[in-house]
Amino acid sequence: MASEKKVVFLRSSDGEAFEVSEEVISAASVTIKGMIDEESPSRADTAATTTLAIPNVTAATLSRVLHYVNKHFDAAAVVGRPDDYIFCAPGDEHPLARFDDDFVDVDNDTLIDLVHAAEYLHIKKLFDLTCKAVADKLKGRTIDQIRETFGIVNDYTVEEEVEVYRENSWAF
Amino acid sequence: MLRAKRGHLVSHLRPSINMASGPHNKGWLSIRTNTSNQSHWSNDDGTPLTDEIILFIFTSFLEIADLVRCAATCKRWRHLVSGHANFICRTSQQLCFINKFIPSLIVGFFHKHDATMLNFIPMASASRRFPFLHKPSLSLAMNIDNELLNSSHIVASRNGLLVIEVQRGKHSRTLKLCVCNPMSGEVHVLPALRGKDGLGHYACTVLTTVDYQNMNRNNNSQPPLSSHYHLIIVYSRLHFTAFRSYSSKDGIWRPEGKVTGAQLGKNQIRLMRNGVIAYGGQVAYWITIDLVFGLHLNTLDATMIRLPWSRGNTFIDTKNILLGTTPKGRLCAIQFSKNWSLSMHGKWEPTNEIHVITYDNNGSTNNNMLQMSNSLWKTKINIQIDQALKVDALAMEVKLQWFCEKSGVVFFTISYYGKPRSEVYALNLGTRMIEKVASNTSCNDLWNNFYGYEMDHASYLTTLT
Repeated sequence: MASEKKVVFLRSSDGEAFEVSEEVISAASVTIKGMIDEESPSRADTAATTTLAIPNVTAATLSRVLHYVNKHFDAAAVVGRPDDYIFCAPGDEHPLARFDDDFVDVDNDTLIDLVHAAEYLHIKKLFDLTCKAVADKLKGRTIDQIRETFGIVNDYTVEEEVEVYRENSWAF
Repeated sequence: MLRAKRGHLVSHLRPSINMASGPHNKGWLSIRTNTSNQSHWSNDDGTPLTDEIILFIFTSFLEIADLVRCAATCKRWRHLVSGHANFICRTSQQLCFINKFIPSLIVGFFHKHDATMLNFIPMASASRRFPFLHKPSLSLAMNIDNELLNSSHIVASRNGLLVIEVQRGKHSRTLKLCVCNPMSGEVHVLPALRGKDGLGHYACTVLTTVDYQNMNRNNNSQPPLSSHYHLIIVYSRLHFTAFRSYSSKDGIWRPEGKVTGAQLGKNQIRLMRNGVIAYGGQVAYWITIDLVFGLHLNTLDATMIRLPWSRGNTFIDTKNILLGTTPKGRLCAIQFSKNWSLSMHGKWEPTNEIHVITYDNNGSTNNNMLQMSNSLWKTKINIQIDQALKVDALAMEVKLQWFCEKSGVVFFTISYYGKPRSEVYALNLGTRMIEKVASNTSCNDLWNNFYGYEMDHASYLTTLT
């Protein structure tokens, strides 16, 4: 089925290669589309499959990113897989809303890796989704919860901390 | 760990990234004491996210209380918030979606005790943050020469902006206004209205983009905040009430418009005060004597509203009122009542109470805002002030002076019968605490031309430095 379609291989920072449809990844990632466009003159001659190095993204993260990309950017998959809709709650505005929620329901390190990968690969939808998930871990949280979640080292002196509390107590 | 090469998704953040307040910053913000420890904070606070990504998250998804808490976690985040406060406030979608007062915005109040001197008195909290405010001067904050300023007076104070009328001759109909932000030191002198555009008495108020934020919170198509403002004035023409607005974006006055519905007499316009903007920037209200003048800014349809004057046995002092908006952007009024009741000792004793009533029309934005029904006014807060003040309720007179609506602070003055003494108090509606701000023992009534001042959100975030 996909045999007529062109594919590219993406090689993660730790050397694992992933196959993905060129059309799908080009629609999703501005960065990779740019790489493919640069490569294309030479490819026309050889007809060999391209392998692109993605040096900033590990295999674990890349495989998650491609899972997302295939769900969101493969038109055939989105239209042709009605089971996605069955799992949609009636109020969901987007059929993939539930998939997105599950997708970002991961530990902090994984989430932050996804943010960086989305930024590097320039996948705007994924970047917004993952940043919003990070924001949800900040919203309405106490200072201590934020520090704990993000592993932030408190570098305030006691006096500075007292002052910040005193002048901004409404927000705490 | 390997840090990702910076992508392009957040590159639009960079051009404006390094601005505190512009090049000719002479505002109050520039002369704080607290800026000494700027230099040393660790870039490695444990968060692997880059500054650009953190800023993107701050501006896209967080509201102001979240930002303040983030700033309190570590120095790097604090500098991200305070150093980019203007950018965050111009860009943020969520910043002002907050349902409570922000008392940290309050700075103090201006008053004019004779024809020339414009004086500023800071709150204790502001003096801590800006010690120089003990010897305040507006000209310090603005690039206006001192003489000019001292012969001028304030005509509006909202959302961190002051509108100042540059003094004109007694019979001159030329109107020269300037809009300034004393925190940042920015001053805009507006084109003068002269000749056939000239006018006599007028009422004025100013809208900033914060005013547009409160309606339709879930509407994603909302424009982001910007630093632009609109100034609006209402005045008399020969046979009608006229309206005019100025937009800082175009830098010009729009053509004069005709107000329909209610018309204002010259004396009513002369006495108009305390202009506020409610319902997502759609309606302006002013007090004139004991009435409220409401003006729909899109249709220029106007009406006169009489506020409720009694509740049960409580009779409201109808001329002692202030207007404002709630944190949700609804119109509210601060009222005062003095009631007599029989005490346990069999004596008639007065109680002085401050009330907050809000107009609760369930967010409807049609003309109902102009046809106000008394039944929709709901009393939200009653505060008895005598015990907190420890003064003889019998011997004093209370005058409500100003409501700082974003910080939830009501300024009122107390004068004592037969004594040359008066005091200014600030009531915090959030905590219900009353703080004495100033006192005066001379015979003169110092508290004329009373204008409370609270800073804008960007200035506040900058103060977190």
